[in-house]
Amino acid sequence: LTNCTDSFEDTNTNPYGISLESLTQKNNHIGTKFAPMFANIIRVEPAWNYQLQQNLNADIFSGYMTAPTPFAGNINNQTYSLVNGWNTFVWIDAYDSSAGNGIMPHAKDIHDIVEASGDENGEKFVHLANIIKVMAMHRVSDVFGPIRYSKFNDFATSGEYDSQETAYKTFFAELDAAISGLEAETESTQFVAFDQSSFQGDIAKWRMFANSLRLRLAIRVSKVDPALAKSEGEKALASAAGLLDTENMQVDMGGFVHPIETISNVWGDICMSAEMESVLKGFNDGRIEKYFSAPEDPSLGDYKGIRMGIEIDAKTQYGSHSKIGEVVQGTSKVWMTSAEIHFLKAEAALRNWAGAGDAKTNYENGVRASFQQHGVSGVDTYLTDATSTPADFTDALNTDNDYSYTSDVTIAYNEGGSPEEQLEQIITQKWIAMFPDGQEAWSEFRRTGYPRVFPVVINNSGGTIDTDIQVRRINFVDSEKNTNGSNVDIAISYLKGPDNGGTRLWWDTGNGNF
Amino acid sequence: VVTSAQDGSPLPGVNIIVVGTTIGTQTDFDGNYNISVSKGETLRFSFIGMKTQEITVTGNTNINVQLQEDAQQLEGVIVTALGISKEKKALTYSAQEVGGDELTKVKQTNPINSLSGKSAGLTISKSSSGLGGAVKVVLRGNASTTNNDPLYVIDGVPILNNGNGANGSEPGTDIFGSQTGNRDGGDAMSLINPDDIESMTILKGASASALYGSQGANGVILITTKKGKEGALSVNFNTSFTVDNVISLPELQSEYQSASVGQPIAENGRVSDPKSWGAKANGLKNDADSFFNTGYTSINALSLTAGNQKAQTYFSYSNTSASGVIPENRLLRNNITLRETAKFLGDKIDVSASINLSDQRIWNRPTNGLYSNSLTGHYLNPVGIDRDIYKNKFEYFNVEDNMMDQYASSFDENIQQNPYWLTYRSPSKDIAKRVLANVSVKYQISESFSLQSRGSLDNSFFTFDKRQYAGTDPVNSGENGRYVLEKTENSQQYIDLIANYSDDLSDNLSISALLGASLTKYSIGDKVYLDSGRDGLGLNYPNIFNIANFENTNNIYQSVGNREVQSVFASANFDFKGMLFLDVTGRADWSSTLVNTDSESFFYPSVGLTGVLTEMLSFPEAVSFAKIRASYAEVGKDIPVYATIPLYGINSTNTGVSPAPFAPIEGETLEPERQKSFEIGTEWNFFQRRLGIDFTYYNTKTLNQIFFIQAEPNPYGYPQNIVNAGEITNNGFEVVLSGKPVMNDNFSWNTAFNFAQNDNKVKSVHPSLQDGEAIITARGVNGYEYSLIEGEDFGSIKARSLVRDENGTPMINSSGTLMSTDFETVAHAQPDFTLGWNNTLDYKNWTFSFLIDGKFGGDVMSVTEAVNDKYGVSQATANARNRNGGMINVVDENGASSQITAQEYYNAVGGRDGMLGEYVYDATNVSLRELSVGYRLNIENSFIQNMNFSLIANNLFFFYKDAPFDPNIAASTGIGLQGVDIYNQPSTRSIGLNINVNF
Repeated sequence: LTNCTDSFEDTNTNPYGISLESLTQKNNHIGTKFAPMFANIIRVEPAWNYQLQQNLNADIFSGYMTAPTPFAGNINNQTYSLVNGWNTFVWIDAYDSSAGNGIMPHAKDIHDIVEASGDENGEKFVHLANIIKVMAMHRVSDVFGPIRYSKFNDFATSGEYDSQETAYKTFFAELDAAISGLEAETESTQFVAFDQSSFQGDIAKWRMFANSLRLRLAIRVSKVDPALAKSEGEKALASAAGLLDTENMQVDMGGFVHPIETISNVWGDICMSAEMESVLKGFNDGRIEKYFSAPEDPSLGDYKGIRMGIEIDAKTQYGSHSKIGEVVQGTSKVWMTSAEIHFLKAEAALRNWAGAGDAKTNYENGVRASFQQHGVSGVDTYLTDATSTPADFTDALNTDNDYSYTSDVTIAYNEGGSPEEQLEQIITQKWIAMFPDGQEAWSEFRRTGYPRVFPVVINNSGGTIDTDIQVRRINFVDSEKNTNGSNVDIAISYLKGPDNGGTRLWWDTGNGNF
Repeated sequence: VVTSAQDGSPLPGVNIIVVGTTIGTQTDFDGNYNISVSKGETLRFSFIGMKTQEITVTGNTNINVQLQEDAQQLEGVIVTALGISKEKKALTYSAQEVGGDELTKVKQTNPINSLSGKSAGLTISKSSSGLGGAVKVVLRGNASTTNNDPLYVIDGVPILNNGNGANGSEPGTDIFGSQTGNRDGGDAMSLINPDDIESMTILKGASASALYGSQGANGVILITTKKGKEGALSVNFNTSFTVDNVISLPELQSEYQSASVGQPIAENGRVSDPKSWGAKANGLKNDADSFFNTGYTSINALSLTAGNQKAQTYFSYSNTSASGVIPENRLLRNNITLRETAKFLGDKIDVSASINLSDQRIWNRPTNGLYSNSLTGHYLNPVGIDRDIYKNKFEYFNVEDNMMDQYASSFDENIQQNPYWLTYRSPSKDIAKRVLANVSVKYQISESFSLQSRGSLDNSFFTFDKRQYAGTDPVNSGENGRYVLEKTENSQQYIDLIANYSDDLSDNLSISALLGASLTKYSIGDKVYLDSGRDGLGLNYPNIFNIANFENTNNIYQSVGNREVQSVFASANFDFKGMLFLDVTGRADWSSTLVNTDSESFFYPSVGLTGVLTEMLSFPEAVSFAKIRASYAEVGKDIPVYATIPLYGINSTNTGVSPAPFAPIEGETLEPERQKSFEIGTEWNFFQRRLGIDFTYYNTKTLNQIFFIQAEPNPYGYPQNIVNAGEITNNGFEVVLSGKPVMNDNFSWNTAFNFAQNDNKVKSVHPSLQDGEAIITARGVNGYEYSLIEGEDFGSIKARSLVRDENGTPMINSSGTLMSTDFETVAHAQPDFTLGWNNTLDYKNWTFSFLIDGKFGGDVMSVTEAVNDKYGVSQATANARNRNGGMINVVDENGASSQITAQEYYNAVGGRDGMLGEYVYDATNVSLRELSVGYRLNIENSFIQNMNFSLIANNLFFFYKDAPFDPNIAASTGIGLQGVDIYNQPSTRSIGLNINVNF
């Protein structure tokens, strides 16, 4: 009877599948790994995935946006009852390779395929994958702290976590290797077919992006490890790879619309925050027209935001407040703005790093770059405004939610101010410029305390998150606890406290900024 | 002439042989026979169900014989695995037969629904999709993590029962359902004409179905269809017409109006507050049933049989036309069956060939789940806002777009739309066509040896066409509308060859044995799926439903599951003096899915023993029959297709390439799922069979279950590993009591009582699954999760609940928010035991019958109630507002009493993501399932032979029910959404008339 089963191999082969051999044509066995990596940093499809990956955590914790919807009976991330079922998507989009997810598994695939082939020509793909991986994973680390990173490519140790410190040091090492490794590859066109970014396969620009990322991360660790920060930061400022100070890093969304557009203007599930209203209206900032739309209810005035963590019975109560505006239209998503580079340099100057230039100039260049990016005029007047300060917030429906902005930060650069005062200006303007990327904004708020994100009114954290100190991180996800429990236990020991939303990350020292 | 001693009727087909020779014959249709014998020879007359008689020829040329009924043979024969007829007393396992008349007495559009309550150990859940919907059948509890559907066999040949994508058939389905509506694609059994069914035999345990090997692990339902009869032409016409009405609707309140009452309604129909937490008001109306129509179902069936001794023909045609309780839901079905049976070569060759054609069209098949379901918008309608406004105007002219747009009170949470928009501007059409052809040839080589071969071709073609117009909620549709076109084909080719041998080994011992081989090829879900999707425009030009109009190709794919199984099987049955029976069977299957595993074949043995006590010992006269039986069997199931050859695939949502979703762990082999089952039973009959009892105890263990776990690190990037692990056990007992308490010339009462208890436990899951939990339906952002948890009953429903103090008072935290538990098991849907009580009373020409069906124990959950509560439309919220000044008593963490408003309470507890643990209800229910009153009119010497009139009713009422919905309705016939009501279509009560005419 064994003869009759000869055809079994064919029968049991999915006729619509692709074998690895067939994928090697046109280097697709490597190239196709990049598509999900581009897709999963700020994941656009399906929109609800982004809603859980970033919108209902970092985008609201950063003081950018607030949901008018009382999800789960208003007991959710907004009122500090961290919803594990939501926040798990931050992790899934990075680690799970099913259904179009995944960063780490695909980066690892590229590494493995190139290593197995022994073809040195493939090394550039490993470097490019590592740059994207660092871009993705520092964000994930900034949510949880410890992550599975440096030991991920080895089967035996794949489940083990790095402390956030180790992860960051690995990021620096990988960026450094990529910047030098790609130096000789700038003429290569092999990446053109797979590059979904605005760089269109230009390796020189990828080096520039890697170097810019190095500067971002150097600033991030400036409080916890000033020496490391200074050395990495100065390396970035001096590198021949250059910095991304004239163009934005954008990634094509493959025909999909920006998820915030869908979440805000189609579903009505995210609105302007109270902080954005206070700062933009207080500053008479022209970018408000681009970032937000006028409320559907004209009685609310020209723009109206919602404070996070308030009592909401029904979506209709605050549903007609300002939605997100044309900033989320178009065909691509922004990974890094050129404005940010200027603000990073401004802070570097403030910290006296070599090659950073002058803080004021960098600061003003950052604001200019942001106005230019959004096609807003009047930047010169804006930069000289030394009197406007963030407005106090009044809730349209409930005076219990009113809040006075706790500082009188101004726009015009205050060179005579203390470093602390100057830093508040830099970070406040950086916060405006990086909109709508709440992940980076939330990290910088936690590091510096700027801008002055309002505390919640209702705190359902059960005492784990202090209302005044605010949410500092998100606890490890259930899927990891369930399948990788012993390693999660070790990861928890890397934290400075219990595995909850009140524990500060490694770079979040809680000490003064200087 | 050979006649029956009991009623004098002629007996056709009686075997007559001259003892000691091979000379023999059979009686014809009128019981006549002719045979040449010499004086002194002995004729042996044998007929199944009758005592064999021997008569020595003394010189008479005319020997009339009256055969006595054989009490020991009971109801005679029963059809068992592979179509083998067996004496019932010889069975070593429990098998229950349900006659065709019981199935068609109160007719259902899906004949399987008629089995409910008629067999012990059989649990039936109707799909909530109404007309033409699939049915979930579970025999003796769930045994598998992948599939618990029984095998359906028609006239000895397994058929496909795969439908066209039942919702929830795959893990990961959540309570939102699909954006185009949770679909029930129907099943193939729903395409069968119930009037073609002669009888069904339910083989519940592995012992009974072991001969089906890998296909029979979940039990088998054997269907014997009608065939032509010898004799004059006979014509039967049956017509039934039933009127269907909804029952078990949620209770809606009409005391408190929405705050939007009195406020202007926007141009697009939006109200200012979609919830109903406003002031108390008089004169409000809120009829839950106002959306529903009175449905009807009309089934007309005609059958013709004709034939002589050599060839017989059966032909039937049936037409089913139905209109559902949901507006615009209609069904039209036509079935044609032709069956030919013939004998050749001096009756040595039997040939049977049949062909069944079905064509079914369903318009606007109702959906469940939160998305694209008319019922969310209907039930949640703001109290005090007239539903007729939205009924009379479901669309308005959008000046800016220069086209019609949806007019709806709210798109709140994207789960509600105008129900009439969904009715008229989101139409769907399901087409199912089926061809089932069977051929069987049997050659009786000698008296004791025969060869048989059967072949069948079973093809089903499904089309699903859904058109969502521009203006549909953008969560579910592109801006210019959405078009889904799906074409699916399922096919199965089957062929077998069986050699039968039966002989007397000695005076006391006889054997019947068979040896066979079969080959089955499957191609399931051969599908082309074309969907314009819900992102962006979807369609380039609005409302043009044409695949050339797709804006992008992000949502199209092709799939197919191919499989081939080759089998060799054998069985031997020994009969010792008609008192002791031994059954041994064995089957080996070679499955294509097992390629690249350690063994492509697997072997399934079974052994059973029956002793007829009344033959062995002497009993008081009251005991007419007694037997005991025991059997052991191993069956199994092969593994999912392609699992051992994982390939990359093109993503349907972007142009990327993904690794196979799962693969075996490197270096490990997969094995088929294995079920070991032991069964013991006894059967007693008393008082000339006026009272019977059948008791069965069984114990099954299902091992080597398929689990999907997070992948071991692997170089290909598979996110999941497919592994064998775990154990699920079922043990329970079944009791069937049957009796004829009254039996005289004018009046008789037949009653049957089925009882089944089943304990269904998950003993273990894969060790890498933390907390011993395999999640089948993940909670996602919702409040419902469905898991298999080690040590718990099969199917744990998990949810959050209120934290209460020792007095049961809900607790609040320092912010004044109600505190909730984490997700924990709150319910198991499976009943502890089931009861069915079936009665038929005959008085002269009148027949009265009723069926009471009960399920006891188990819990179910209602997402419908939770969402209705949050919106303040349920009666529960009105009651809460009327009580205690509308306040709910709570305590804070320090034990101090406090109060919150009813709205605050339901806002936290209700909703799809609320504390659904507060929405768990006892699933116990007892209902009057079927009722009929019939009158039989015998017409002497007329063209019409007889007519039957009956009044029929189905699902009349519940004697007892706790849940706010019919817990016998399943949100899904797949494995994913069990024990939960998510705006399911309500159950219906049907009342009507059936007329049957014989010509």
